[in-house]
Amino acid sequence: MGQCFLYGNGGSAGWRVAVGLTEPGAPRENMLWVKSDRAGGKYVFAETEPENPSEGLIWFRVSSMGIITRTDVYADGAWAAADAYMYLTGSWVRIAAALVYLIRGGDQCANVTGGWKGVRYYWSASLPGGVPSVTWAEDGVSVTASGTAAGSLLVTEKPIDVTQYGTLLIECESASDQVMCQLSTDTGDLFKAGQAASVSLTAGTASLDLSALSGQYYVGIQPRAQKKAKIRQILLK
Amino acid sequence: MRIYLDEGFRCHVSPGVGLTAAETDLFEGKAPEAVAGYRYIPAGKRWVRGDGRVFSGEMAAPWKPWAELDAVQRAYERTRNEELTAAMAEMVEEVYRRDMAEME
Repeated sequence: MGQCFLYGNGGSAGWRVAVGLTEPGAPRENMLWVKSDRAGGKYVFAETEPENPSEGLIWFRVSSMGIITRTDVYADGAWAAADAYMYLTGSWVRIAAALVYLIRGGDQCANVTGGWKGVRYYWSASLPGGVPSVTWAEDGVSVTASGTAAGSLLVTEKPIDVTQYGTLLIECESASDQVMCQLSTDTGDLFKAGQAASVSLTAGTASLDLSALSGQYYVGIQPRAQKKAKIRQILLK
Repeated sequence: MRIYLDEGFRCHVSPGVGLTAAETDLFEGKAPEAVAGYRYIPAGKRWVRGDGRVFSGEMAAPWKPWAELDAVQRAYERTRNEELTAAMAEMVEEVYRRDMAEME
């Protein structure tokens, strides 16, 4: 749909847009619900950011195929992602999420990540690392690199589409120095070659800027030799 | 690898006025043109994005669209591989010629 902007206010004969923190009382098929207490009644469907947005404007980001990929509400001078749902065959289906977890305590969030696995980190063909020690508990995952100099990798089984998110947040209970969180287009021995972005971890929350990234990436925790970290959660926002 | 950072922590591969030098191994193997599309925050430094979110170093993330940097990187690797292959072929040919000369 190119740079087309489609503006609206409330809905048309075929569908409606509702806002609020609680489910709309009288839903009907194809109704859209933006879960926000900051959203107003006006909205726009567009691939690119609307110019001069008014407070409360809802921006349904759509792909070139016309699919809603993210929903933002303009509040206090900035866009903030919001959950959005569509009412289909009698129930609400989430079509856009304000945030997505990749690790949440002991939950590997397999529906998004495919699960996590400990593998060698290949610094180079002549310098392969070793498989890490990985322990999942209720409050997070502990990963300790092998003794080899190149270190180890705890990585998602599936690549994650980061297109609609601006930040990766990694909350650690503890982290040695030389523990990184990295995104890569490749996995296995090509993980380093496809590395797109990195941030070092410390106790607390580390943030990685994803503004210029689009498409799918494997997410990995990479401690160097004998370094370790305990991750409480990782999420896209 | 030595890089040079401007006020917005954007990377430059050559020194210049107002740029600060930094060392990192995060860009090892990357094409210089691709490195120039990155923002690098050294350990102990902070960068505030336009929306107010604070990012602490050490962090490396593209500020140019990734697809553009990836295309540059893949072209760079293809060229490097071709140069490497040509150099090896030339070396083998040279050894072969030398051996043949000795045999004669």
